[in-house]
Amino acid sequence: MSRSTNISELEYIDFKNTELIKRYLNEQGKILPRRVTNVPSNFQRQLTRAVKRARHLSLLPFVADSLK
Amino acid sequence: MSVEKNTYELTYIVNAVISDDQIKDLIRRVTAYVSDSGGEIIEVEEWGSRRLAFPIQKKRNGYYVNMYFRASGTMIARMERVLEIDDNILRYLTLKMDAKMIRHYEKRKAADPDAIGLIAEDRTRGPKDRDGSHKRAGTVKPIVTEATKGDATPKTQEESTDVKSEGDDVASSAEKDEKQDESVVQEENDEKSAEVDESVEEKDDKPAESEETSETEAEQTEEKDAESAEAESSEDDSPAEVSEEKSDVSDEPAPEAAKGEDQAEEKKKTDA
Repeated sequence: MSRSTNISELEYIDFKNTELIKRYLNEQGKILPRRVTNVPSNFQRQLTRAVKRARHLSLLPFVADSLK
Repeated sequence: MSVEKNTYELTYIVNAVISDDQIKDLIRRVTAYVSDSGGEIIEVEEWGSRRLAFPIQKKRNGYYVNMYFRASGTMIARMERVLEIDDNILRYLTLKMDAKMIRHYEKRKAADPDAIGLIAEDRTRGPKDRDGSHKRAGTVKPIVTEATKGDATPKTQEESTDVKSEGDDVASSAEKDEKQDESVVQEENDEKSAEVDESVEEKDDKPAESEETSETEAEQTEEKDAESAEAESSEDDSPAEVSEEKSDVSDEPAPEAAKGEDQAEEKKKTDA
């Protein structure tokens, strides 16, 4: 499937790539757990780091009521 | 003795309320400070004024600047001190670029030298433009193939890629990461518009079945990750979901993933 090849190819999750990151957040802007998204563990760690950086730079909200 | 130089990425937000000249001046000062302290500037990207996700110092917009430079580690603390002192710089983030980040940067530049690093909706004008679309800050090249050539004139670049993306998953997955991300997001948008088309056409023939099959097809070919677990549970409720989707789709074909939205709606209904 196209998504699994995408993730394994992706070496670095850029915090500036909010389009990609938003897929792994719910509508409240919370980071979805790995058991829901089924991503590899290193991907999840990078994702979390990217989300927190993006939130610091106000590219993503900390709390939202309709992120999507 | 030669000092080891590291590559850094600095992103900072400038107060958008001050005049353009002052913003330019400030950016020039920061860049000059870095190069005077022995830094070698690789690139300065200005993303322009963007709406902030939350207000910073009571301000809702900020002028983003992104800088890549090479410098020794000792000057970073001093540079950050300068950024801290200046009242017009609202936030900053300095990252040391490791090999992975550098490779990612090179790849991005090789793919499209003109695109800025930010891949996000352009939200200076608020959440949505009047026609319900989002403008993109990064460059998006619409994928024009035989399939799309005869299609109705698209309002935005997104919609032009929307219409063909279902059949083009294989091709789109072969493209570079970032473009692929964009096209997949557009496929999400496409799901909505495709369902509109299909629901209108096939309403007379087999309403529930055709939508279900198109949904499952669309699911299998397009989406897998965040929505898949939720979607699987929502598949059981497909009749209810189908009717919900029809009403949603006819009301406002917003560029959102169908599954996620319905799941959220069902959740809200059960919660409330």
